[in-house]
Amino acid sequence: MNCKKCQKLLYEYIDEALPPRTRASFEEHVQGCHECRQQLLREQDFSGSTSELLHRRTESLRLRQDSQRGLLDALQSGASPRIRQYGWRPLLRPAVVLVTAACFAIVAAVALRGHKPASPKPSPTAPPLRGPESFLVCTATIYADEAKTDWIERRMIVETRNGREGQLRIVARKNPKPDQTNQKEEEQS
Amino acid sequence: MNEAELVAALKSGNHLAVEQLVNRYGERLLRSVYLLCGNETDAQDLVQDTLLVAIRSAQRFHGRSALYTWLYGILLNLTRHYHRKRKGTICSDNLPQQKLAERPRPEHADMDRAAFILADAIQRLSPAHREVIIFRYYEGMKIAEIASLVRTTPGTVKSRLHYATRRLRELIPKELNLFRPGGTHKRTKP
Repeated sequence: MNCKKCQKLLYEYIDEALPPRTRASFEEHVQGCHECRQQLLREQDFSGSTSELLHRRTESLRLRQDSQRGLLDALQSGASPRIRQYGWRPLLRPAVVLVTAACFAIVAAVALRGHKPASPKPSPTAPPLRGPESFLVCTATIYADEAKTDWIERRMIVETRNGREGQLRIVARKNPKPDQTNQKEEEQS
Repeated sequence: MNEAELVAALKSGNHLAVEQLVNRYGERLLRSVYLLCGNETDAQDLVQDTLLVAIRSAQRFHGRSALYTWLYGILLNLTRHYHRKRKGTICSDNLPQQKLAERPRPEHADMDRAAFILADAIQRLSPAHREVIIFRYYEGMKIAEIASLVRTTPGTVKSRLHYATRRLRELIPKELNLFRPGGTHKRTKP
């Protein structure tokens, strides 16, 4: 047994509430540990002194002479105790539970009634939108120089219906061959 | 009349049983509740109410605990209600100081002063801490009994005792020697 365990079992040892084996282990530890022995002695002495002083403090108290008569009178008259054991307090706990439940119900009802499904916001990882119906506004043409190349290129800033902004790049060959793809479209977010 | 006979007589409404109950347990309860509430007049009222409630509900006592333990449970409930009612008011100790002074034992005046200081310090503890100190050191109850009475765990009782003792250590002057091995015995018994 270590000191921590010994201190934890101090009251049980004094109360003689420990099983014989634990008690023997406790005593063995206390024999060898000065600190725990002092603590046990301190507790036993404090207990003895406190008990003695408190009994001394109250030994002069006597019940009122009319105590017994008062008790019999109260029993015969059916009077209730002067200090009531039960008042409105036993009703307090159910009342608190009911009020709390009512508050939750009201808040839930208001929240459900005023609830509108939120419009889906585009997430940053969403795939790029494709198709002509996705584009709402073309705000500017930012590049249109195809004089030195065989390609025609257009870049535009566009805004989708959900308020998302991006660039549209259109590239086409000036003299397309019949077997080649003549137009590419891509969107850059 | 033993305890079982006393309970049976109480259940049958015998007036002699009331007298027995008051004589046997009245003062014991009074002294304990005086330490709990710190006021003699209120302590007298609390004891009378305890006995009144006990006599009226004697049918509900089935002998699963000692009669005193059952009475003490009623007393504790009433005392807690008393404390709730008097929350925020200061209890004054009205045990006449004259009584202490008039005792023909001048050699014990030192012990009387120590007893007064200790009872005063206990009154300054919180109700939960005061209860465990009185149950443990005045009533001599075991940890398990206190836990059963105040409806908590033995661990909580030990914790309350630890903190209550630590608080008393702060409140009680060191010259009282209450917290040293030997305690007051060393000082008063040369």
